[in-house]
Amino acid sequence: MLILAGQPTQGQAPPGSAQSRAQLLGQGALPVPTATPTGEAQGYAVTSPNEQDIGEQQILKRTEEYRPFTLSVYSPFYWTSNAALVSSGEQDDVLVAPGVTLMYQPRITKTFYAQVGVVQQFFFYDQFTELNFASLDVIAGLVYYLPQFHNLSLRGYYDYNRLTDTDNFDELFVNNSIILTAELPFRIARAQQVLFGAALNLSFYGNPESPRRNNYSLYGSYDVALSRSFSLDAAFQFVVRDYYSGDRTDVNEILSLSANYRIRDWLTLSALSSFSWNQSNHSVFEYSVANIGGGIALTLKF
Amino acid sequence: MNNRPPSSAPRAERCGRGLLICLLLTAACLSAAQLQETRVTQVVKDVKLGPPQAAQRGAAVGESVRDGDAISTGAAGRSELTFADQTIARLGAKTIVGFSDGMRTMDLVEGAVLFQIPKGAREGRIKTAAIAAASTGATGIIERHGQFYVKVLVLEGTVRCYLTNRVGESLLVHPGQILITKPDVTALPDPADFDIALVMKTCLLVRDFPPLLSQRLIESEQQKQSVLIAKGTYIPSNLVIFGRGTLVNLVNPTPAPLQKPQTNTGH
Repeated sequence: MLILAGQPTQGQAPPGSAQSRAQLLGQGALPVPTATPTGEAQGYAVTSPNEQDIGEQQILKRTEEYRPFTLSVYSPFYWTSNAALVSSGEQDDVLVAPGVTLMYQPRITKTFYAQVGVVQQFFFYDQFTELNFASLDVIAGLVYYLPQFHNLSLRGYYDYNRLTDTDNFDELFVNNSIILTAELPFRIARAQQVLFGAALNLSFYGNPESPRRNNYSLYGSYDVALSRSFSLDAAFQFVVRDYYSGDRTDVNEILSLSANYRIRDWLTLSALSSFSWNQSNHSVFEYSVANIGGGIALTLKF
Repeated sequence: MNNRPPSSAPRAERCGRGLLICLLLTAACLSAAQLQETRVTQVVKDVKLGPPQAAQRGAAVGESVRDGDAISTGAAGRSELTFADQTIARLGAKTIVGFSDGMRTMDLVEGAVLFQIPKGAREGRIKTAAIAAASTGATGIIERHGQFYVKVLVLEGTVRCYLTNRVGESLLVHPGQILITKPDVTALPDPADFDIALVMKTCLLVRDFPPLLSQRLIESEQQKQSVLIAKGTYIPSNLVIFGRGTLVNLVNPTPAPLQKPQTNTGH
């Protein structure tokens, strides 16, 4: 089982472990908005012998009906090779992580948005039920898109995170942080996209103190649509976790691969997998884990 | 040793099988020939037909067009071709079109073609430069003007446009949408929207020919568009494409949350 600050914690999930597992297994709990390339084309029509054959083409402008609310309900399930994220004596388990996200993103200007949201997700283990926990995030922030810089998106928000048990919702850990991200998408072709990003997650208050940490991460993803309904995603994240107590610094790598089949615009079935490796200056915190599973997600915009 | 003469029953069975195979082969050949049979149904002024490597002759109504042929129109010429499955192709002025792939593919070298592919017909495909437009039921117009641009307008049905030299570079163009791009494009742009009613009113490939079989479907799309214009979903812009110096400015600069890459765009 996971050993936290040198203490074996058989029988109760330590908050730090839940924090790591929430990050690793969460169904993309926090949305990652970025910009699409703008639909702008400009030029002059040259004289053509077929002008009269085709006729006059009056261009119509479609008024955008912006829907600021997004509601997502999802339920991924996994087989995990290392349920408690420990360095030795790994135990595998199966877990299901149903969750719901409600996000409100009002448009302030054409490229500037506010963002307020709530994410609640539960993590239920099949065998190690003592590891069960719930994660609540409340976020509020701003998103700024810069189409002139290759659709760069900048995002800054406050995140209140509370981890609890699932029986009485007793608090395991609470954290307040400021998260800053920058993302740069590159569209390779209509069906492919690469995205690079960097994120800072700076904790300014947490209780208990021991799991508090700042995260500095770089990440990238590749998406390819093989058909109108079927897509493959691959993402890699490199994170340095600097803990406030115990002179602990971890380096974590996460590779995730998924295949998504969109049944309807609002309903997606996925096959999910993620692999994570954690190195630490305290060898007791080193671990590796593989998670393989699937999931269903329902998303509504209104 | 059995000296009995062979029974006549197996021989009759063999004959029957042979006859059935002959009938099936004949039906298949007839079917293929029928699919490949395309006739010139309208000729206006200067229209020429024939294999591109040989001297082309003046085309006449009723003449057959065969796989490998090319048809071209002069400065005031126009023509209509009708395929065996009732697919119609109307050629505008100064248009050159070749036929390949058993008449299922039209190669637009230059000019404008109005196509009407009936619902349920085999997929029809028009290729020009690196761009192909394919459909199993649609009416639309495709124009290639040298190295300047390629336009695809869809009046009814759905047309899949894709680049023949890039896997995955594909999108659906829906009724009332126009795709404008360079012939040597490496990534397809998003389509814009156009007023179907105005094109139908001013398009000579519609006005100067008999009514299209898909006329009612086009009118239905026109009606849907009128409702959307009345509701304010579409705002008629002051941008009309009909000649030199017309500014074509299709602007929709509002960013939106990330869309996964898709091979489909449109409504």
